[in-house]
Amino acid sequence: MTTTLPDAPSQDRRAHSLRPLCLDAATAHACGWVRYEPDSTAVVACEALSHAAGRSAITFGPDRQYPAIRATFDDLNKALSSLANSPRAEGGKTLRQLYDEEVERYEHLVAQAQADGRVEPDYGTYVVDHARGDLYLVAPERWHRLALVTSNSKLLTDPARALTWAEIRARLERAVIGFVGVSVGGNLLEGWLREARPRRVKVADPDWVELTNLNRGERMSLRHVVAPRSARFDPANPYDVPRVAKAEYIAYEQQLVDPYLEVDVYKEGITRENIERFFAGGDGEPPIDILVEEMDNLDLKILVRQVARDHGVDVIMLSDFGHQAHLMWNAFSERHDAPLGLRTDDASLLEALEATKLGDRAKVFQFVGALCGADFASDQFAAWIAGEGEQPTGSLPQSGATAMASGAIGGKEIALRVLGQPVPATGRVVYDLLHREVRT
Amino acid sequence: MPIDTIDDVPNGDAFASWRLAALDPDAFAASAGTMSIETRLHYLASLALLAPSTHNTVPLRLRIDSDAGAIEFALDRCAILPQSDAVGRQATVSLGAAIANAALAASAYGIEPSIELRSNAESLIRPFAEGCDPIVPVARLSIARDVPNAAARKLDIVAAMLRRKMVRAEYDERVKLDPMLAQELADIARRVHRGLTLHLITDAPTLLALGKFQELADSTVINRPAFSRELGDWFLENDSESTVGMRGREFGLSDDAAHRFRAGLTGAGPLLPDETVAFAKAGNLGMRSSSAVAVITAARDDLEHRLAAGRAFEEMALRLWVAGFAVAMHAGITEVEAPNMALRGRLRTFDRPTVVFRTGKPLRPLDGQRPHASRPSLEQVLY
Repeated sequence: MTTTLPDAPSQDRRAHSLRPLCLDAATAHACGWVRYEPDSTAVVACEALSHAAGRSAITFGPDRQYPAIRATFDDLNKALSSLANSPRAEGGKTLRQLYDEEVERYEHLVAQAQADGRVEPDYGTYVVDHARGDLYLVAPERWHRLALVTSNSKLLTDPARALTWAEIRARLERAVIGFVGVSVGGNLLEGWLREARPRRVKVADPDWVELTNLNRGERMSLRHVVAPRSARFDPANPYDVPRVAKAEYIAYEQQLVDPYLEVDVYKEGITRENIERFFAGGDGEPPIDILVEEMDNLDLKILVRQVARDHGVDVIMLSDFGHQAHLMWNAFSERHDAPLGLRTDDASLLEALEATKLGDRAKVFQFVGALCGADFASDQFAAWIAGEGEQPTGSLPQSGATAMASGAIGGKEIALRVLGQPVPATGRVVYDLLHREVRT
Repeated sequence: MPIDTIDDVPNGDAFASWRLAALDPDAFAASAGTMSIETRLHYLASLALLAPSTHNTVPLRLRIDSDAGAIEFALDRCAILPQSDAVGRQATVSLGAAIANAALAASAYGIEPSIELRSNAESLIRPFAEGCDPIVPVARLSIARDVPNAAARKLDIVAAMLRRKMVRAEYDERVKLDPMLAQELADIARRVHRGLTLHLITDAPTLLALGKFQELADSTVINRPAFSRELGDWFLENDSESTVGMRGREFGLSDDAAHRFRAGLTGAGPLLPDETVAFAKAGNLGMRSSSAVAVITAARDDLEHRLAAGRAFEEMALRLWVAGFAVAMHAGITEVEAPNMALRGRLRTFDRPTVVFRTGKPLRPLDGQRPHASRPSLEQVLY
């Protein structure tokens, strides 16, 4: 008998298979984890690499090395203001002052390294992308992450505009948002990360990347359609096509933007087994503050709302219905008895869910109406539901641009909510991209 | 509600086979003389008839030879499906399951059976063609003429034959398979035939992969018009009185949905693309929700191994049923070449996946109460 191993319930979910390995440069040099050969070829060899990549050593020629620290400081130099309104940071200093001090320290270390004949100074973090064979060297967390949010300036504020830039950053950085379903949900994740650049997120999706997802999958590319040939059991079996888990691809891609981002990856998706862990955390994993729900499993859509209500966690969902992006909030943090659906009592919603079990197509859309509002379908999307005209696809039609707009709206909404903005009074806002209208 | 304590046998002649009374060991052993062995063979044949078959085509045909103390197991080529079972593999697996019932029941009542294959049958196990004899004898099960030992026997396996049914529903992923039970299943595979290997899949990523393979298989075949029509022919209205075929309610479908699917598959009515996608996705979800997916691979893809795989499957299914687990077969993944090859890669084997089934406990108790499939009477399958 061959058996597969059951999933370990208490595993550290940050250690997903594509996770780039981060090594502090000073430690890596001192321990010999990263060394350079005379032709500048870098050799990375350490136990952590064995755990992450199953290989004890990887060699990176100069064409696979990307030292990015100088560029980071140059870019920040243009962006950070030296004028009187530069945000205050610790010790009463402005951000600009801290930046200048850091650059001075870095340049001193560079000079030392050059004098010693070393390729790189003891500064920054090596990011070993073992999946693609690239080696990055990035600035320390503070400066790398600062560069990622500098352009956002202070556009995001609390409702009273009372918080300082540093206080706003602290709130956004510590918020933990859970994303279940990362196809359209990946767009919301992108929106949230661009807007807020938090330290940690959770993602759950049981599916793998398919080429047909690429019309809406944020940062999806040929890199994620299939796993490399080396993953095949029989290289000559053309049907043996190992795939890439959506939850892992999105974590990986986002960690190539911010290697310091911690992502708890639930590649089995949300299940009845792990849902409590996803919400409440445990074993060092934090609880979530807000849930982003973008699944297509009807039972789970209800289940996560029930659990979110129990935990007092707000739920946001952006539904891409044809040309419309429907924003829906369940503000369970404010009302522990709030209904699960929009303008529907729970009993009716659950009855509608039960009715979907008998294979009647119309019942599925009646349920969607109960959850999201009976007017959820219009125009070409309504025609598809009615089975009118040509139907090139068997799956629910999804517009790539609507998914992208959903991500932008969702990202902004999450950030505003984290900073204390109320949810829309009606619980829903419809952005109609076809008719260029907004309604509630 | 436990899955074996519900009244799920519909009224009507098409379901009368399920009302067979399980004989206690004394009754089984009591008769003497020529009649006794005939009675026993009829009883064993009646149990064989309850075994599952692909599309519930019930392709087995039986001949009871009281003089020889044997049951001849044959396949009816008219019941071998040209589109979904072009080489008769699934019909053969089905026949293996029927043989398993008879053999296991004989053992349970204290008679050790012997099984003899007709190896020349392999090339004949094909869909019916004009001019050929439709009946292909495949195997013979013989039992000793001695009066069986009526000592107390565990008949739970026989009771399971009378209760077992396919439960094609979403299972509760929280329910785990006991390692001891898993080991028992593996032992069954080894004991039935050394050329079989059981692969028991319980981890989420591999269950997802299997679900995807099944979805691929279902999508492939359902988009082939000839296959779709064939499936539609065996996919019945809920109120059908047919003694073979699958009613929509066995898949959890309402009367309307069953009617719509049958009409759509046969081309007699509309069926939208997303409805067929939903059909395929249901199999995927079923896989992912299972406590385990079992794949029986065979060292060789021949009559002997196919029959053995069917026997092993049925014994596993019965053992699981006794332990409170339901089972659902997924034949598409074994018959459509692309997902079958993909599955070999995933399992890291060169052997052919011959049986794929999933096991678990229904998430919704009502799903466990879906009615049994129909059966012809024993007389109708005797030749």
